Order: sequence, then C-alpha cells, then structure tokens
Amino acid sequence: MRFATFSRGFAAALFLAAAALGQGPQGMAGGVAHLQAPAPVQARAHATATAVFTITVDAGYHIQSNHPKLDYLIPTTLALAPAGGVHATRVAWPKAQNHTFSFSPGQPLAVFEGTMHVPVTLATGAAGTQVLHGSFRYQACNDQLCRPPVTQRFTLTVTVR
Amino acid sequence: MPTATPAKNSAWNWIVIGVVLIGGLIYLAISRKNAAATMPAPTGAGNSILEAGNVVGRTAPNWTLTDVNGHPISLAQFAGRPVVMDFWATWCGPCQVELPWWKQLQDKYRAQGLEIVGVSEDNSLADVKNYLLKNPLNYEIVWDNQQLENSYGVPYGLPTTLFINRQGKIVERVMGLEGKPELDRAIRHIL
Repeated sequence: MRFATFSRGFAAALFLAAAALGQGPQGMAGGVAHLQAPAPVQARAHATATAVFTITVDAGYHIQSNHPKLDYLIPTTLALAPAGGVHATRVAWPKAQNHTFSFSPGQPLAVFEGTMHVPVTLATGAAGTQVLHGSFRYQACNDQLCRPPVTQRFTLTVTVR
Repeated sequence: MPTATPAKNSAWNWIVIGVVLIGGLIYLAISRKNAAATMPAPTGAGNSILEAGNVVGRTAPNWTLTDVNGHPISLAQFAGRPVVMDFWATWCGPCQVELPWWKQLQDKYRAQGLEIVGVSEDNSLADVKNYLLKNPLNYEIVWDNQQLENSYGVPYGLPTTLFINRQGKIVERVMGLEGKPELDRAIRHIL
C-alpha cells in the first residue's frame, strides 16, 4: 500500500513537472499586466455609473502611463466600445509614478507599477442589459528590456434599469 | 468483495505511472507546439523553432527581410563576415540606449568586416522610417514584420542581440541592456 501511494504520488509529481516544463519561459507575447473587469454594473437609465477596473503589473515590470513623457513610448489605454446607449465618458487613470531606470538616467519616466484601480464613468441610455467590448493596451518593460505592446480584450456587462 | 492480489496491485501501479508519464509528455509536446504556433514573434520566447534564448552554437538560418526602403536584405549576403543581429524597436527604451553604441562599434570595426543589422520589431514600418529620419543610423536596419519567427523563434524581450561569427555560427546572445564594453567584447569574439 505504501508503494502504491508513493508511486501514484511520484507519477503525479512527474506529470506536474512535465506540465510546468511545457509552459516554458513566458514569451514576449505573454502579458505581464493583467486587467480585471468588474462584476456586472448596475445603473439607472439615462444616468451615469462607475465601473472600476483593476490592473495588476507583475513585480519587476512597469507599463507606460497613459501619458508617457517620451514620444516614442506607447501609452497605456483602456477603451470601451459603446453598446445600446451605454458608453464610457471618462477613464480616471491614477497618477503615474515617476521612476528613473538604468536606461533612462536623468530622465524619470511616467509609469504604472503594481496594482491600481481605474474607475471608468459610464453614461447610460434606455433600460436593458448591454455587453460592452473593450480593450486594454499596454507596453511593458523592466529595468533592462522591454516587451512588445499587448492588447487584452474584455467585456463589461451593464444592466440598466 | 474481491480483494486485489499484491501482484495485481503492483501491475496497476505501473500502469498508472505509465499513463501519467505519457500524458505528461503529450501535454508537454502539445503545449510547446501551441507556444510556437501562437507566438506573434519576434515577440515571444518559448518557441520550439530556434528560440532566440537558446541559439548559441547553432548555425544562423538565412533570412531575407526588407530595409526601410523596401530593398531586400539577406543574411546570406554577409557570408564570411561577422554579423551582429540586434533585435530592437522604436518603443523600447533600453534599445535606444544601445543605438549610439552600435553606431560607434560599426565604425570601429567596419574595416574588419563587421556588419551590424538592426532587426526592427515594430508593428509599423512607418514608425521605423520616421524614427530613422530623426535618428539616422550607420548600419543596416531591416523590418522583421514577424517573419523571423519561422526561422529564429523570437527573443524574450528587447533588446536581444545575436553575435554570428564568420562561419555563420551564433556564438553569443546578449539579452537586455548591457554596457558598451560588454557589446564590444562580444564583437571582438566574432571578428
């Protein structure tokens, strides 16, 4: 019985190791920032509501702010396509952090790091449930290298009563 | 209720081990294949073809890309010469730091046949052209447009630089921002 338990456990461990190996290193295409859309938003007709998104940037990385200081940097954007009379009127980005990196000595860059909350103001129309399609675009770097721009798509459900 | 004999138990254990191992290997193969298939290279490592993070010692596959004026440029045309392939992009801050160094190193080793090729990973050729208008470089710039994925795989991040000797072998890879002395040393290694 002990051998059976051991062998099954050993086999499971091997499987998990192989599976983990199969993931490989995270490629440049893999995201290091992650947007979480809020639960369905409840709103009144012909009014405004707020949807708060959560963005988490992996430790060691930063993403460019919504207004980078250098023109060649790619700004972070959050866009929502209107649906059924519901549309975004304002994205309230948090204040960017000014950091100097080894590749930008003497030139602090406006970046986002860690976890942040991004309230988006919605204007509603007539009653009904709407599904808005959105995109979160960012370009991430760490102190030594950069990863290409990534666009993460998401949906936001808004129930208008 | 029938009771399994020790022999049957042992056989069952080995069957379980075998199935799980085979399952793990199949998963490994599928996930690696998917990684290669879905990577919008040169935007991603984990590529099973010739991952830029694992190319040292390999012969550099030939490629043909276009420069910013649309002229074809091939690695083969530099045969017998030391070549530096620098994967970069206009949106990459660390890459910007290296560009003046590459200019200086190209001048320094031009007489010894060095050919530096900047492989742009920008999504738009227009971005590269506009950048070069403001920041002219003295070495070849080609636009990858994700074509090297099939031959080189893709680097984990930018900048990633491959150093190819006169025999066409990739002898060193430098990933991320390094100092100019380090790049100079790597070049001397392939001269």
